[in-house]
Amino acid sequence: MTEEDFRRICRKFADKLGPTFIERVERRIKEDFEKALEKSPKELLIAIIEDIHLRFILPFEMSLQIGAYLAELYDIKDCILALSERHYLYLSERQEEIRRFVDSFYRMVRELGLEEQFKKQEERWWKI
Amino acid sequence: MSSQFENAVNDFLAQIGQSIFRIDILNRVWKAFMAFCMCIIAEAFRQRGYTITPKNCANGFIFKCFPAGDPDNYSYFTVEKGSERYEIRLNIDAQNFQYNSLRLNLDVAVIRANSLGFNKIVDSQNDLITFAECKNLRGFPELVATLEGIVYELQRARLRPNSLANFRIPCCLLLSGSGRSILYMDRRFQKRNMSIRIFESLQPGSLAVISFIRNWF
Repeated sequence: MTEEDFRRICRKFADKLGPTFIERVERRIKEDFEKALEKSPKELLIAIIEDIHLRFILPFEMSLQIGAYLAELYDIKDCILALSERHYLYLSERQEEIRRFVDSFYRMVRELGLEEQFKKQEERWWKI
Repeated sequence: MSSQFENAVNDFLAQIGQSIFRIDILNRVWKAFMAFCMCIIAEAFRQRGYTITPKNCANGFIFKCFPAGDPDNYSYFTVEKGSERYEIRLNIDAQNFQYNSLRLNLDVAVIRANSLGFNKIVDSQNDLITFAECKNLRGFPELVATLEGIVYELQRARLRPNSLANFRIPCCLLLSGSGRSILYMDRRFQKRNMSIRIFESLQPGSLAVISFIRNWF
């Protein structure tokens, strides 16, 4: 991938995820987004993906593991995150959807040549 | 024509904004980390021979991932071994009534069984066995200061050297990201035999999770 490719991909993320996301990435890299884009687009892309990984992907992976843990050890089929008194996220019903989302992230990371930084870990800690 | 990497990026980004991957949910899904921590805490007890029983889960296990609300409307685990009987709960209020401390909401709390009073506040002096603050973040110094502040309000004797003798199970800061910049504080707590710990990189399937389960207490 060329530097220009990295820039184009960074822009795609910024356009999709909006200014709040960009501000968070700027805090992470301690640099202005546009400057980083110009100077070191690959490092910027890694910072973007790190943020997405930590904030979005890992929690969904955790929710998949929670579902498996409760099902295997306690025979509980449904698990629900109560995000507020009226806002429930029914994880069990959404497992396939979540799995597709997580898998597409790791496929993207692989295609971008960043699989070393973002390895999927599937060890089941309750079976060790 | 788009390259393969571009297609992969487009495919991933196309899901954002749709279904459960709407931005309002993505911005709150980090709370799954609290639920994850509750499970690895239950597992740490189970692997030490405690009997774990999920409660209040007739309609599925409902993780209370927000501070408000009646804790008894949500699921929790009971933990038993011999005369020890505890509950692992999410997002409950604790207060040290002896010192009339601040009332603080704890992410995960291990409390004596049936100790939630009529006001649903646990007495941290007598009934709080341990607790964990869960941050789906990389560690930074203010998080340690916050933890120490919570400990000061609720169980200040944990801040003394050798407090592990009186508080067998350390309270802890659990991080999903790297704690590189603050781990020297964990070493300091351990050197002083204090009942406070910091665990980092608690990500699904990582060795850090296994290490937490084995080494927490």
